[in-house]
Amino acid sequence: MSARTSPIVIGQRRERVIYEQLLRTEIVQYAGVSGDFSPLHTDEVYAVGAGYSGVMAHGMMIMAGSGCVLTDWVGVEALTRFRVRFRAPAWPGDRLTTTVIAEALREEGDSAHVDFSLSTTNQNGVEVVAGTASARVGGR
Amino acid sequence: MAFARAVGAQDLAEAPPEPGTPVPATFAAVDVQFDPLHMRNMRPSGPLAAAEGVAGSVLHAEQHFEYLRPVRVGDVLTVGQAEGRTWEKPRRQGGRLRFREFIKEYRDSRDRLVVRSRMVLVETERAQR
Repeated sequence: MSARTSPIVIGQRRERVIYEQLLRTEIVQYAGVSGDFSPLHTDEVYAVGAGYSGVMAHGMMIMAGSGCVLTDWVGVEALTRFRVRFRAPAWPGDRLTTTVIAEALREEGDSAHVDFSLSTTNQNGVEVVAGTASARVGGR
Repeated sequence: MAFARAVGAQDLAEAPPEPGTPVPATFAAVDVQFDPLHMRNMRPSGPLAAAEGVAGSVLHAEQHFEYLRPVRVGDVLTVGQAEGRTWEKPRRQGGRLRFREFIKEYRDSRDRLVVRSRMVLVETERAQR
């Protein structure tokens, strides 16, 4: 999450595996730090009873991990906007890969901003998180 | 540091960060941890409570953050929350999806807006596989 040292070129991308094999323990860990103990994330019996194959990861856990790929690139202090849609659940055992692409340069007031797209997919190519973000890259 | 470790923010995960260090981008979302009523008697508070009593499932559909400045270690933020819009749309497999929007504003000790958050929850009539 350190500050960026080189200019961002439109079209550049960053890609990283954020979970090699998502663990139930990691879901429990996120439940603990977030305070989100929904049984869909923490109670296998409940989740199966609700019609799912088991517990699913918190969407916010995947957003946070995906966001690290972006902020490791641009620096968290530069971030002005970060939006995602949770398109599919992430399950224990999933391998999740995040891709961030610099899409456009935009002037806003006396600042320059770069708009990014962000996508996190699982091992089957299913998109679990789709998002956009903006970062200030110049100006005040 | 515990949050950083849980979300893979490696550069903050080694040691307790110094005051003034910017926190991970989604840290504001865990504000419920500072609600003295949260998880008393195993009952959630805030938008998480929206899942209580719903026959189907309540899932997180969207999350938006707007940052007026970074949140830093040592900041004292006050959270204001309001329910936003509600809407429905048909589900491809039949039935309806009901959406509920929650808006939060995080303000610093001088009442300056730091972060604005928009959460959209979706209630489904049956589980979505």
